[in-house]
Amino acid sequence: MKYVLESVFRFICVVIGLILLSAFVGLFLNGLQLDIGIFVKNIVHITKSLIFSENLVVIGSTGSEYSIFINYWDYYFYSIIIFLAALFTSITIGTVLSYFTIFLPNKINRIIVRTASLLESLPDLFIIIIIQFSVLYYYKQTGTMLFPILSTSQTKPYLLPIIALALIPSLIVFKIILYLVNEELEKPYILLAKNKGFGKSHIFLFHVLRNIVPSIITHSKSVILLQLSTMVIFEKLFNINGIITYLIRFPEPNVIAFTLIMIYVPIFLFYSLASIFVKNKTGQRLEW
Amino acid sequence: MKKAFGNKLFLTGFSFTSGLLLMSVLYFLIFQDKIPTSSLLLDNNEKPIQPPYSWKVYPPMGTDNFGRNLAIVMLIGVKYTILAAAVITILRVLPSIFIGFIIHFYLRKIERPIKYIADSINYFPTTLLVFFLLGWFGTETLGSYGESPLSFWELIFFYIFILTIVSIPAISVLIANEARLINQMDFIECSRILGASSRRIIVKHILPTLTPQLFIIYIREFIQTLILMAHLGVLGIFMGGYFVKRDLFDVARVVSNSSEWAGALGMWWNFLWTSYPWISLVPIALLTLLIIAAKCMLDGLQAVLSSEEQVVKVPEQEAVGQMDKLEPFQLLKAKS
Repeated sequence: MKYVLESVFRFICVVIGLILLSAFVGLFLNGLQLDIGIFVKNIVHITKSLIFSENLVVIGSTGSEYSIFINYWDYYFYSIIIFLAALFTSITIGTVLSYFTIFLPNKINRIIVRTASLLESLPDLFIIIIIQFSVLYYYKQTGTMLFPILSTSQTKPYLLPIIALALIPSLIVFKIILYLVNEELEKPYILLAKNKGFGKSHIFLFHVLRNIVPSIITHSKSVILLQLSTMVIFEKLFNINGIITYLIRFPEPNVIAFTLIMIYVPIFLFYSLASIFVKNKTGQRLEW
Repeated sequence: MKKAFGNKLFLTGFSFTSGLLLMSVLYFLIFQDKIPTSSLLLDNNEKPIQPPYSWKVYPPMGTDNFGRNLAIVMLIGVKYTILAAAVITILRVLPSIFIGFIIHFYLRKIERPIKYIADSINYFPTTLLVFFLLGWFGTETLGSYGESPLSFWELIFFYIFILTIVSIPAISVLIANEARLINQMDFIECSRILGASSRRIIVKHILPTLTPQLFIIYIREFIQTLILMAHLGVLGIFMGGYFVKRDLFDVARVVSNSSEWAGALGMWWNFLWTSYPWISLVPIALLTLLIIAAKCMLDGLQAVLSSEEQVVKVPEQEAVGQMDKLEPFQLLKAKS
């Protein structure tokens, strides 16, 4: 019970922080107005809009106000599906890769870790430009389009954005898991399991993986934050009509606050459930 | 820190970065940042070709659509990129050390709520936050391509200021966490029992223990800043603003004032869809090299630091190794 209360407290703190930030951003949107009165007015306005959702309006191109809920959820779910799918893809790829790496001899293992560490620092823009350029080059050479590289009003590409968004994070997850596994493999109980005659594969799947899940969840937060930042650039360059494009088109402080809270909700639910699960199973406290 | 320069990885990254910076500054001192423009080139049939010229026609990197030499434009831009990122990082880390210590030592009662509220800035994607905060001099909002009322140095100042403050909460919390870890160690307990005050513990014990960590945080933030700057470039926010120039086809094009790499990246991205894609590939490739150089420094430094921690263990292992080499019943040399 205490745990649930603390989660709720945490959620409220983050919501307060997001409201303060959005109110602060509001000072910069219509030219620069650094005025404490406007700041307070923004806070009140945002809080009101969050309670009474009919206040969430944007001004359309014709100059008339309309509620954001006409097409808001289309944008929201498109972005969130890509985001979550990329997250789970990267965790899966990272885990599978590290499973295969433990069978390799130590020397190659060390080289792979070092290469992964260098590759993970590649900027996301580099990955995007390589993908777009190579698909385009292939198109110029052969005349067949492998994937739609830009979304239009008719097509909503899912596959390519998810893969592109998952590439770098999966390298990061791979590096983290490999590090944790190598640390775990030196513990005495692994020696016992080896002496009992279990194979490497069995030890990895049933003992090591199980014990490092809490650490993986803790570390995955940095992956989520990285992906969130990449999403912004991503929607622009792949011309995805997602939630962030919507925000850039209609920058209203209350819409910004509402959207950010909506993005936070699935992340918060995931971590809260995970930490309750881990606490029940292992008694460890997750710091996230 | 001296040992870091003995590490090959660190040395490579460091010499690449400082070499670029040095060349750029020298170019500024000798040629005053003059950008050479290619004259109209003629093809085999004496017909003029329109710029941009590819790297085959005009080595080493070709020209942009105004016939400016790309290699020189990049060389001029790099000093702004590296110096701005370095300054932003210093301004981020130094105040964060103070704030982090204050949070940990003097506001311990409300440490948790502060951390949760500071956590909220993580869920505001940094690129989006900075875009909103700087949007008033970007190209997206000024759709009419109006000139900015502020001067070049004022724009650079604002750019650095905004990029600095958005990261301070997160780094402060990070440093508060590090301080908590060090504060739990035994030697702190000892000096507290001997009567040391919080201030003395911070200055004499925690800061020296934290310093190696700070270098790592510093380089990591440097990489983060470079990536953030590149993102902003794509969203149309250039350091030092931009001016509008008409090209051969009389189309108004936005040109970054400082021609630094992150801005050039955003400015030329759309050339990817034309028949001269190399223009957009040049800045991104160079920026990637710079980031990898910084990453090399980071990995090298980490390797040096982790080997320093193990220094105590090494002789013991060697001694054991020597014992193994000896025959079972061999005479040992008598100590003189």
